[in-house]
Amino acid sequence: MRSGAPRFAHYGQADCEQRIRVKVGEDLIDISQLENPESIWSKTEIDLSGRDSISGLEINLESKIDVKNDCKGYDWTKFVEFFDFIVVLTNTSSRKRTCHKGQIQPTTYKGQRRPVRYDGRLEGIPIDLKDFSGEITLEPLFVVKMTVPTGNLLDSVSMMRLVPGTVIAYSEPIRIILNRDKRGFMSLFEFVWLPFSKNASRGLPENGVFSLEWTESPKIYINQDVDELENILTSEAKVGNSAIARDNINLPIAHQVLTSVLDLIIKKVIQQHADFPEDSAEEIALSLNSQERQFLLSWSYVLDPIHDLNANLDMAIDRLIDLDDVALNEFLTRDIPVVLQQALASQASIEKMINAFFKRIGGGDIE
Amino acid sequence: MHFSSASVVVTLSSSKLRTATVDEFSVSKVVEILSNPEANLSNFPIVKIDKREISFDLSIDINKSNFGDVATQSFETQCAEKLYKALEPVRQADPNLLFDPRIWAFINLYPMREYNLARWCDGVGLFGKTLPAEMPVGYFFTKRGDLKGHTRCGARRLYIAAHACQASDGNLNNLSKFFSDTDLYTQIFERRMSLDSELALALAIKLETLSRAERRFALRSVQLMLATISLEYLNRQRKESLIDSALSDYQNR
Repeated sequence: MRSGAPRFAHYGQADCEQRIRVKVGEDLIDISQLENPESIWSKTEIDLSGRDSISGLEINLESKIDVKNDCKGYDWTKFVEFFDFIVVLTNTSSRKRTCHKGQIQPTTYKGQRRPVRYDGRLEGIPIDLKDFSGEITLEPLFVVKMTVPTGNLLDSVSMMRLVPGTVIAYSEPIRIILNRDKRGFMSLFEFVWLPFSKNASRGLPENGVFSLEWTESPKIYINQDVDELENILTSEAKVGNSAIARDNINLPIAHQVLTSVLDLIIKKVIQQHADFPEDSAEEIALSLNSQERQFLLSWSYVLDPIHDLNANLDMAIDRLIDLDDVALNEFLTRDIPVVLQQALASQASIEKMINAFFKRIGGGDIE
Repeated sequence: MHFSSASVVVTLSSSKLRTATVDEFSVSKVVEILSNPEANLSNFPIVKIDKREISFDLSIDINKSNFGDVATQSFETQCAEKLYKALEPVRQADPNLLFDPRIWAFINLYPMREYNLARWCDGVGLFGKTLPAEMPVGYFFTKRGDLKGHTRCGARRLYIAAHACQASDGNLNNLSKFFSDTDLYTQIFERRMSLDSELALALAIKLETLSRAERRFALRSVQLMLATISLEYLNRQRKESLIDSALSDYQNR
């Protein structure tokens, strides 16, 4: 994605209108008709994190360059002859970088020959989400045409001869976020460092180490009153005592955060099932809010009573609501702690700490 | 599947494609997996597409006589070619599997285990050498949306070069150009312009024999031109002429 205005983009930033339809099953639905559309869609960002039912997109873009934009450098009346409208699609995860060519349409007022506006249009760009991962960027651009008459175009502002492909106008890029994060649940959180002793009004425990706030923008507050805690937790050391200390402090925090969040989600799922027994697993999943769905992108297998790594969220919920009270209790008190200990490699981390401790006091490695 | 206790030749030929349960494991978990691959296969469920498993045959033989050659142009080219060809059944089943970091974690820790240990970890764990409790493990993993994370992953690094050749030329004839030295590879593939296979290959061909200073100048110039030109719009000939123009700037500077 380009940053800033390209040097020869004398026609400046073109206003861009988008019309986006999403593919749900076999149907194409206008994005504005989805539940809670403002959480997905803004002028420059479409966030599909956790929206597993969406399998594709159809994007229609229209970028407009108005004569009022102080258009200089090139012959305004030969716009269609000199320039092409393209949309560049980039996705780093799948290492794709492609160009879609659109059409330019002049708009002329009645009785006048000189166009007042040029519209670059590209309709029906298909995006099959399974072909991508992470973040897709779409950049609408007006560029010097490959077939420009003399092979290049004189820019009367810089007096440079521009080669085909040179950007003369651009619209703000549109980012499509498929999964805001799948690397680890900790990146869902904003870490806020505060001295808890001076922030009792926020409900932070004065003698605590950390506190969780599970809202739409989840936060983990960490207590600056604890000596050296900030230095250790923000250390980027890969080996050595700091790294061992950091990993072992992170461990109980991660355990507790995971346990609390899973507990909240399980209670919500069970309550939803009790209130609306006819609801399918898919409908129950839809009742979860965006941070819960994002969390479950990586952790739905923990929610699943048989911990099937290939299970999707709906399958996990289906099995969860089938449990009777006794099985549910056993799942919460015995199963989940075991799975979390394995997932967080607790044993290896603690062994490493004990080894380091004995080395430090001269006891050598523990066999 | 066979893991030799002598750790001299460890291959996973004719194996099923598996996927790691996470994008990256902790250092201690990696050491545990490398020390005892068989016992840790439970962290790598078998991948199924339309209920069918995917078999592939990949073996890179690392022994005492070729250990010293692992960083050479010819060895890297050979490994990249083997890896690319071995993954053909995966591409056929679903090419998108090959941008999933969890698949690459499996490929790096199992079929490419010895190559990675030899190439990037000074041979620890091979030929009777023990694995240290703490070691750099970054080369066993890739990232989703970070180019450095793609190119610093042992096996994916090889794959990316082979894929660029195949996508650009339809064959692997120019593959060795990418491995003439590590700096050339890194300078090309750590830039976003390398997402365009034609440009990446054209750069490798034209810059392979140049000095480090010439290469870096040319790459910076091309990068600068692309701030004003849409690379995606250009045909191959135009892309090559961008590089020629950058090289001629170097001569005339």
